[in-house]
Amino acid sequence: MSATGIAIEWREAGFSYASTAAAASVRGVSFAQREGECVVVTGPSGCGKTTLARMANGLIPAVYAGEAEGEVRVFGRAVADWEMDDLSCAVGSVFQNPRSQFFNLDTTSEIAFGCENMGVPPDEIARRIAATTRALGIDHLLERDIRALSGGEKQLVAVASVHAMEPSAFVLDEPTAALDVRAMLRLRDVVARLKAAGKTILIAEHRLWWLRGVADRIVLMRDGAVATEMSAEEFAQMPAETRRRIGLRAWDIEQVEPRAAGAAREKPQGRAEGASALIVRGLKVRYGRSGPFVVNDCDFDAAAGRAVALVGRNGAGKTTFARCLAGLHAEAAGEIRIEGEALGPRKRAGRVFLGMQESGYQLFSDTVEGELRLALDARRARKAPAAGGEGLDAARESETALIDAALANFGLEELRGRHPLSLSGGQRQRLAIAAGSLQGSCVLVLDEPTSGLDLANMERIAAEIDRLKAAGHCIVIITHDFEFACATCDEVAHFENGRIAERFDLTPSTAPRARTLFGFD
Amino acid sequence: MLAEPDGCRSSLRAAASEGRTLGKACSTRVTVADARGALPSRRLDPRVSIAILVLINATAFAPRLVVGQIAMVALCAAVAIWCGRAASAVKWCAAYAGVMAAGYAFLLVPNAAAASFATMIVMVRCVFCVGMFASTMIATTRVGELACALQRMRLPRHGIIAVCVALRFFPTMAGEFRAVIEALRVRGMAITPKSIVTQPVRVMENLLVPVMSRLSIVADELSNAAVVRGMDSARPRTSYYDLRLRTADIVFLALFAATATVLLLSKFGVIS
Repeated sequence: MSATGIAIEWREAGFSYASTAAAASVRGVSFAQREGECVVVTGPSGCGKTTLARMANGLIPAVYAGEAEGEVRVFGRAVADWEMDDLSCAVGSVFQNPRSQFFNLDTTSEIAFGCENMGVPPDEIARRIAATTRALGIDHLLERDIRALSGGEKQLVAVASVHAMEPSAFVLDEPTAALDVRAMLRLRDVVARLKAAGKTILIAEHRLWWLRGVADRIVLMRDGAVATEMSAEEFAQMPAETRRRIGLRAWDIEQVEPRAAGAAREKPQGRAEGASALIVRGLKVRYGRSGPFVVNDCDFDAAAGRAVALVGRNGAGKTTFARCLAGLHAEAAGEIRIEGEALGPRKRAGRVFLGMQESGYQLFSDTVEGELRLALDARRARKAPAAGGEGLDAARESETALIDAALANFGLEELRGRHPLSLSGGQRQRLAIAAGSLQGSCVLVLDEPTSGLDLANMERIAAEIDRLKAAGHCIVIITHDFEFACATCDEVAHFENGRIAERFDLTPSTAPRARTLFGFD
Repeated sequence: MLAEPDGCRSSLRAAASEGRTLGKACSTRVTVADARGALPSRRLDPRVSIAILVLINATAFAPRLVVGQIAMVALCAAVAIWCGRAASAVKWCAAYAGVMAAGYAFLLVPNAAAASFATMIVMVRCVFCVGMFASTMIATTRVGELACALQRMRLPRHGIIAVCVALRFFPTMAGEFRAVIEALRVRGMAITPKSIVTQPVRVMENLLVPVMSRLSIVADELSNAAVVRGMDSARPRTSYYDLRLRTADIVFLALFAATATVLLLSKFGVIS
């Protein structure tokens, strides 16, 4: 498109947002991306990679107000000189959350939507939809209800809807935050196809392994500036120690190893070690009165003081299983025992804590401290529904001590007075887990606790789970994050066809099998 | 008039399945989810849907002819069944029967309280068809087709976008509320009839604050997506869909129009 062969160029560029809540600012970025090149921008949370992406696709300055310096040039022209329409047609954007970038309820309308807005004639739109689905290999996704698609399929439709506008460059801002391993491999396949078609691709991302073999260059950011840039080959040479020290996720998943058996396992105190805190027998769950069983005759035990990673394909029924454990979905048959007591769905709610992917839903107080107090209130309400006035003061005092201990344990002391919804994603997730442990739930089921988190936040949550294990909690984690599972899980359970098909301890010797189950081929 | 309206789409299908053989390597991996979320195959033209909705609204408060009202419900059920939503049609009809029965039951008890309930039920019966037809319309109409219909009615661009986003908004909103209610149960603070009576303010706060904060995040993300997808573009908007009236559209429209005429005539006392 331009004579120089440079697609996107930052010249001493910087930007600071007018409102501080928006995102991290960047300064003094000088970097040129060649046409047809795939560049990955990475770094710890708050390093400014999203801001860099927004400078390339024109959201800065079109949507975000703030102070800009230097210049960003796209295909030889300064972003400020582009009409937003033209820029959107030249640089396509895909965002993090697959749920909130849709305007239609069916896939075909959605793919056509951008073209319709740009005034492309109907015949041309039909041609482009056909060309797009062929180019990306997603013809099976046409004519579908978007809400029924998995996160990975939604993300592919998002790429397709941008592709139909026929841009020369793509900007992907954390596109895999909500995806599982198989969906990430699919996305890699699509990115490879785009690259083969000569498109320029800029990806801001935490999780790196899926970009191996596709990325040409890696840009490392730190505190709003480019720390270094290197070719993918150079980056592959970087020792794992160095990579971890600068806060980056794994590049080569083969190098990720579980902790050695025994060495890292502290003995759980308090409750008896190895006692099954959760026993599931013959569980059957389905939607409606005549639907097929999503969970079918499932037996499952989980011991206090241990963490089990629940893995399996998208749509295998893991989440339904978890919702049933937490009492959100009634079972059709079978029995669930918590600490030896068989409990119906209503009784389980609150006894089994379910950590949701969007932890923002689960926080209801106006301060971090208040959130933990709510958790204790819930525990008291359940334990003694008609507690008398006596001993209440003593109880309050011990409650304050409990809250202080939890704040210290989970590293939330400094955030004590903050509003839960003003916290970062990682902090929110930690607070939700802390509340779950304080409300007296012995069994904690966590659904993708590390989606969209960088290395430091992921490790902090792993440490938090280690502490819960030591306190005798039983943890079940649905996860697609192999690095995270290796950091904290003792066992892997493979959920398939509505039951646990396979189960083993996660050790270096079983790691290859675990990798296969996570979806790495 | 009887031309195949899906012509453009079926040729696209053919082109796509050609692509399937080319892109075999990657389509084999994703066969599990193939059946999920297939769209309903038959639907009314959105312009006809809008016209019928207007007719139903115009006759909603002409209840003198119970037979006419029952005919309207039957027609709505026929549309739902034609669109492949038989289960929904059965549910709505059962609900209507329930409302009718309740109305007559209250009439049997001659006191003031029962009379006010009976009045309420008459109101519910009047607007019943509106809800019934709208549910079918929202479930089957494609946003893209609706946008096309509105464009032909020469609605301004921003109006069209607003309608489209609103259609998408209601299912999203319902989903958000469901998620928060579940989160409350997980936190041991389930909403119960008792908690609604004893702590109504607390319940509202717990429900609304997370939903509002989520919606504001979704709104920000959506508006970013809107900008880069050219929603504010100055270029004249086009539409991928080509709307054509089919026999079924005309038949249903005629039936609704006839029923509405009878109801209106009875309301103004032309026929009794």
